[in-house]
This record gives sequence, C-alpha cells and structure tokens, in this order.
Amino acid sequence: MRRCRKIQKDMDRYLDRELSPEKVRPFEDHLRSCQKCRQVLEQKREQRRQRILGLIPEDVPITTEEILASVQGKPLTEPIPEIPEESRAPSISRWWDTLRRFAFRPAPAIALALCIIALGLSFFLPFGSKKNREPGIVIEQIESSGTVMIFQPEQTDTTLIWIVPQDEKKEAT
Amino acid sequence: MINLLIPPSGEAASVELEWRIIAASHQKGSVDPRLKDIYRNLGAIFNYNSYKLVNMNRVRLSPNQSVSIPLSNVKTCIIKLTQASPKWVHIQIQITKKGQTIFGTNARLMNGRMLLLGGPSSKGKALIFSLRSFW
Repeated sequence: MRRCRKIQKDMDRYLDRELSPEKVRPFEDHLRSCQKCRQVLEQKREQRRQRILGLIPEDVPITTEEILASVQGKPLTEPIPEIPEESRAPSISRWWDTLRRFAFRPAPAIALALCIIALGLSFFLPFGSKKNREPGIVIEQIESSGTVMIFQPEQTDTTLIWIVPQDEKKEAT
Repeated sequence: MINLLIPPSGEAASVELEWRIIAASHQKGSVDPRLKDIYRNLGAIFNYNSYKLVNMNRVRLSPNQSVSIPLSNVKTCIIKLTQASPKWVHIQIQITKKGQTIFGTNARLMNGRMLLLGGPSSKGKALIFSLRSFW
C-alpha cells in the first residue's frame, strides 16, 4: 500500500518522462504486478488526453487520417481573399523592416561602408605611392671624360651613377 | 637633435656624410657583414655575388667644407657640401686621377638617401662608392 502511494506520486513525472532512469525500472516492475496502480496510471493518461483535446478547436483534424486528408490536395471551398492594395505595405518599408528586425543600424553600417571604400581607394589612388613621390636624389650636373649611366630604380631610394672610362686600361683595385 | 642642426633661418648648421668604398665581383663570395644595412640597396641594382667593404667613414661637414677620400692609389674623391637646408643637402663630387678631374657632379640629396658611384675596375670586378647624408 505504501509502495502504491509512492508509485502514484511518481506517475506524473513518469508520464512527463522526468523520472530518473534508476527509478523507471522499479516503477514499471511495480505496474506489472499491481493492477490498481495500472488503472490509476491509465486514468491519469486519459485526463491528460482530454485536457489537450479541450484546447483544440473542433474543426481541426485530430486523427492521423484526418491530418493526411487535409494535406492531400483537398480542394478549398473558398478562394484565398486578396489583400487590398491600400493595406499592402510598400516593398521598400518591408525591406527596411526586415533589416531593422535583424538589428541593422544604418549609421554604423554607412560609416563602415565608407571606411571600406576609402581603404579600397587608397590602394588604387596615387596617394603616397612611390610613383608620385619626389625623388630623394637629384643629379643637377655631370661632367665626365667617360660614359656615364644613371640608374634610379623605383623600388629603392638609391641612385647609381655608373662611369665607364673612355680608355680601355682598367686599374687594379 | 634635428632642431639643433637646423637653426630658425632654415639652413642646416652641419651635415653628417657617411661614405663606403666597396669592392664587388662576380666571383663566388659573400657579403661583408658591415654592408648588411645597405645590401638591399646594392642587391636592387647590382647582380654581383660578392661585396667586400674596403673602407668606410663618417664625417661632419658644414656648408662649403669638403673632404678628400682616396679611392685607390691614383684616384681621389673630393666631396664638398655646398648648401644644406632642412629638406636637401647640395653636394659637389669630384673624382680625380693623378690630379686631373675625370668626373664631376652636382647633386642634391634628401636625408638618408644613398648615392652610388661606380665603375668597372679589372677582371670582372667593380669599385663602388656609396654616399649617404644625415642631418
């Protein structure tokens, strides 16, 4: 009897699947041997079913066959009413609402877009590029008895003046 | 330090000139460790395999002062600081051989920029004179 009282106390949790695994086994073992507890459990199940059914409107299919029938292309008795023109939201505001719904804040987004554009332009515009930089060395005048070649590679800040003497004799270093 | 060197009139009081004499060749070799700081500049222009530092020094010059640098037993390089401003130094370079000028140039340099003078010497070697100014 005491055992039955304890089992009946656990019935709600059992039906909600909240009974711990180590308690489920003895619970079910008792149900197998106790008809009284089985009846109480069945009553509780029926009460729950009725409570759920009471929330569902009468015209909604509740059996499997009725659910299947409702999705198998049964013709509608009435056409879907068209939304009147004046009550339709304009497409732009719908778009705006969607953006706002996803936490889109225009001011920071515009600022970020401008930063990205400015960053992209800095790679293409000649600001600070070596081509537009003033040369670090300017040769103003040259006098030489031999041939002179001047090299100013763009990738370095170096200027080379290469002197090839006219006479063929080369001095040893 | 820059303010000390450049008085309010805008003309630099003195300028440091750093020069190096480098022997370059195509022979298998290495880069002198003392040239590490300028190896990138050399490598961008030349394709020699070996660079050896023959001589280097730093001098401080005031406008109209000059320095004489022996390049070899017959050649001398004379550098004169003609003008110095906050942005540019104007220098005059003369290379003489046995007392006769064989090369002369007037150039202006910005702070830290490198001017190289060079030419073939003998047996595939070259003598390179590098000059940088600091102020």
